[in-house]
Amino acid sequence: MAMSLKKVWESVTNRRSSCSSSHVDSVITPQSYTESTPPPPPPPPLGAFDRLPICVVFQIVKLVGPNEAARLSVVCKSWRSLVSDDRLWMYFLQSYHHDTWNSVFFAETNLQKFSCHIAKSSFMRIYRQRVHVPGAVIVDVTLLEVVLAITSLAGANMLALSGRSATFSEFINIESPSYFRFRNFFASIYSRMQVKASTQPIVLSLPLRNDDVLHGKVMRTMGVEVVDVGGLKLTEFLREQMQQSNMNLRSLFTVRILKEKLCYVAADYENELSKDIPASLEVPGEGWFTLSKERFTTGEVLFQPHIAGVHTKGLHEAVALCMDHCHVVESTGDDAWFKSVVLSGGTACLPGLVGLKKVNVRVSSA
Amino acid sequence: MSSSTDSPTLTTETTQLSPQPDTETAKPTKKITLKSSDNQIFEVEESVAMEFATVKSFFEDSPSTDTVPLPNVTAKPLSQVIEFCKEQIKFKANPDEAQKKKYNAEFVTEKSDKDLVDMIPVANYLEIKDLLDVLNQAVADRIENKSVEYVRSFFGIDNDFTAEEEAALRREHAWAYEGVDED
Repeated sequence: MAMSLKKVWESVTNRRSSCSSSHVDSVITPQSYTESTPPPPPPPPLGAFDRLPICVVFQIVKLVGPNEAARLSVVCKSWRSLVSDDRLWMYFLQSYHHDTWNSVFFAETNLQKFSCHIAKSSFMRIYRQRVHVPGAVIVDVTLLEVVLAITSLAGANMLALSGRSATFSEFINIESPSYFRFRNFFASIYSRMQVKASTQPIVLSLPLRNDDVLHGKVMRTMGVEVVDVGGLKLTEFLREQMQQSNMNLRSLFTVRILKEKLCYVAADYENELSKDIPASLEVPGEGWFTLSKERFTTGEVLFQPHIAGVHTKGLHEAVALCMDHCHVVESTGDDAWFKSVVLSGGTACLPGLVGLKKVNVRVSSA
Repeated sequence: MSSSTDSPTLTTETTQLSPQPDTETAKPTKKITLKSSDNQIFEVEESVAMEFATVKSFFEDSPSTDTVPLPNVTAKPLSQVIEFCKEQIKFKANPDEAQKKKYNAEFVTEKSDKDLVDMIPVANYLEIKDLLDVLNQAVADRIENKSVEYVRSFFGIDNDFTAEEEAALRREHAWAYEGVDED
C-alpha cells in the first residue's frame, strides 16, 4: 500500500507539473487505483467508489481538513492507510497550523535524531499533539547551537515586583546534546528567579522537549513563538559581511569568536549606521581583525531577519506574540509578569540585546 | 454542415443536454465522436473535446481517428461532463468569473451524490482539471462534518474493520470528533 501510495503521489506531482502538456503517460494508470480494485474495464455499474483513484480521494481529504481526515480513517482499511499518509499531514501542518512549517519540520525530524525521549512518530500524530498543545514549541533553527530560547516565566509575581530582566545563557551543542544539561539549565533559571518548578511555568524550547513536559500542564498555558534566526545564522551572516570587505576566513569558528567578542546590538540601528565604530581583536593563530558596521548589522539580523535574507519574524515580534499567547491563556489579568522575559542562549549575550529588546517589545505590543 | 447553433448531436435517449444559446459565433466546427463503454455515441464539437486532455492527446498521437473509444466511461456521467465543458468554453470566450462560479456551483448542487461520485473518475480519466477541482470540492463539502457512517454510504464503501478495531480507531481519533453534524 505504501508503495502504491508513493506511486500515486509521484503521478500526482507529475501530473501537476506537466498539467498543460498532458501526455498519455500522465494519465492515471490502473495501478494507482485502490488495491482492492479490479482493473477498470469493465467498470462496475454502481460501485463508483472503487473506481475513484487514490489521488482524487487524496485531494478530497485535503479539502475536508485535518479533523475530518482523522475521522475518515475509520471508514475502511484502505482509507486508513490513505489518511495516515505523512504527506497529507505535512500538508495540514503547513496549511492549518500557525507554527512556521520550517520549525515544525526541523523539530520533528532533525531533533528526533538525538533525543531518545522522542520516538519517531507519524505526522498525523504530530499534528494531533500540536492540537492538544496549542502555541507550543520554540526552536532556534541552527544545527550547531541551541541559542535564544525565549522563555517567559508566567505568574511569577515575585519577579514582577522586582521588575528586573535577566539574561541566562547556555551554549549547547545540538549534535551531542545532553538532556541533563538542559535540566540543569532550567533548574538554574528556577533557582535564580527564585520560583518553584512545580508552581511556575516555563517555556521550553523544543530541543528540550520531552513528552512528559509536553503533555504536562505547564506547556499548555504557555505561548511560544519561533525565531528562525539563531547563532549559526548570525555567524554565517558575519562571515558574508567580512567576505565583502575582503576578509576571507575559512574557519567559521574564528568568525564566531569575532561575533562573540566584537558584535553588539545597536540601540538605534539607523543612527548607528552613520557612525563608524571600528573595533579590533586578535584571534590567536589567525591574526588581527577589524570590524566596523558588521559589529551591529550582525546583531540587527535578530530584529530584521530580512537583512540576512531570512523571511521570519524578528525577535521582538516573537516576544510580543508570546505575550499575546500568554495573555489569551492567562485570565489572571496580571500583566506584570511580562516584565520578565528570559533570553537564553549564547546569542542572548550580545551586548545591548536586552535593552533594545525591551524597547522593541514595548513598541510592538502597544 | 448544419448551422453551428446546434448542440452536439447525441444518439442516445438517456442524455439531456441544455441547448446552446444563439450567441455562439457561426462558423463551421469539426465534430468528434466519443464512444462510451456502454457503446453510446456522443458527437461533440472539437473545441469541447479538446477540453478533455486525454482525448486531446489521443488526437495528437493519431490524428486520423474519427471515433475515440472511452472504455472507462459510461454514458450518463459523460453526458454531464460534456455539458460542463460546453459551458466552460463559453466562459473561456467570455470570461466572467462571477457567472462561472455561479454556474459551477449550480452544476454540482443539482447533482445527486451518486452523479457527483460517478463523474469524478470520468473527469479524472479525461483529465479535465477544472471539473475535477469543482467535483472534489463539492464532495468535500458534502461529507464535511458528517459521521463516518454517512461517508461510507456516500461513497458506497463497506466497512472492513472489526468492531474492536473500529472502537480503537475512534478512541485514537477522539480529538477529531468535535462538531460532527447529525446525518
